Amino acid sequence: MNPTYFVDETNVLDPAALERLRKLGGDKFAGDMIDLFLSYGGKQVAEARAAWQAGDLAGVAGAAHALKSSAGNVGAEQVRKLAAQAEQAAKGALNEAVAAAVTALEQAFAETEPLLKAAKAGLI
Amino acid sequence: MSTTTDNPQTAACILVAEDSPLNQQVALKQLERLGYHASAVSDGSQAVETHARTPQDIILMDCQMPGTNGYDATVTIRDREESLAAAGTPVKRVYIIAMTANTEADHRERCLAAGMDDFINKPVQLPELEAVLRRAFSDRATATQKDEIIDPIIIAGLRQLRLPGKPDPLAEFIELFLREAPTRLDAMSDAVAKNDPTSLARVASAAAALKGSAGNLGARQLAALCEEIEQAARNWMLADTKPIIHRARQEFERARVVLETIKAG
Repeated sequence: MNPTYFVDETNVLDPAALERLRKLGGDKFAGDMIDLFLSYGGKQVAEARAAWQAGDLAGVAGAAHALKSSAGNVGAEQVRKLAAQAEQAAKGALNEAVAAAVTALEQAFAETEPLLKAAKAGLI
Repeated sequence: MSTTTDNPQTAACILVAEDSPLNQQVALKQLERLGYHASAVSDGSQAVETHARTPQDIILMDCQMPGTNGYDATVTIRDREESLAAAGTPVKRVYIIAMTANTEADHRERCLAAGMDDFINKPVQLPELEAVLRRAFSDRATATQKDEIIDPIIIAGLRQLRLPGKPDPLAEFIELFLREAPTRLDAMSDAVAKNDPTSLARVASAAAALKGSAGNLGARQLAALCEEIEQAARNWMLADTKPIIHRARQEFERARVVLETIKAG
């Protein structure tokens, strides 16, 4: 009954999404969007954790939803999937699943961060 | 992927209502690439305020935002449009596109129920954005044509005549007009065809009568054509009225379609 979420390391980043950003606005723009995701997304992950600790499931769902919709734009696939799962679990008040999903989300974000930074460095 | 720098719609005002700064920046860049002028706000109440201050043509509305969400903001905007129309100052209906990360059918129902017009999935992709905006502009062009056939201000005024518990007088006016206009047009055509000493007077009086009733219902172009027919008849130019009567018939058919929609809803 207690689902575990695994970070699938083979599919953390979708390079096609970054390529679309680069084509849309150039290298500088794509780099700026990565920075924006890392600062805004980091805040949302922390908010999801804080809301969970405060027993605020709606807060978890809100932060996870925001993260889900931003992640797609920079191709943070793993974060997007886990954020979607955290949102679903929080909406369904599945407490154990929420705890597992929030932890997995933190882990996925931590793994995504250096990859996005490397991708940004590759753009410059 | 096409860049539409020669797009005739570039003067349109587009507002992006989206709480994620990343999604906001991407949407603004995409709109810029498509040649549109756009601005952004980060919640529903700001979208309502911005639109009230500077009327927008299109709003790309995120459904789930902290504070006022996209559904509630849309309901507020639609309520305001209705109350302005009821007060006799109708505004152009803003086209609202839901930006959504949920694709379930019930979610779409909720968007439509709130008064949104179309959807786009997130993350928003350039070709989909271009397609949804194309649909928006063709929809708005149709609405503008309708407003030119039947003046919405006149209709809004007639709607106010309704008394509680009484039948809607607007529906009655429309029915009467749809019955009367063809007989007036036939009377004109008949008089022109007979070409006798009474023809000019008959054409002029039928045209004057139809001009009056068309004007009362806001069918401005039809009223203007009737005025032309009447003037030609009064100037003894019977043959000249024939092509104008033909145009008046075509305009009446257009007016009929719009009036029937107004009557139905």
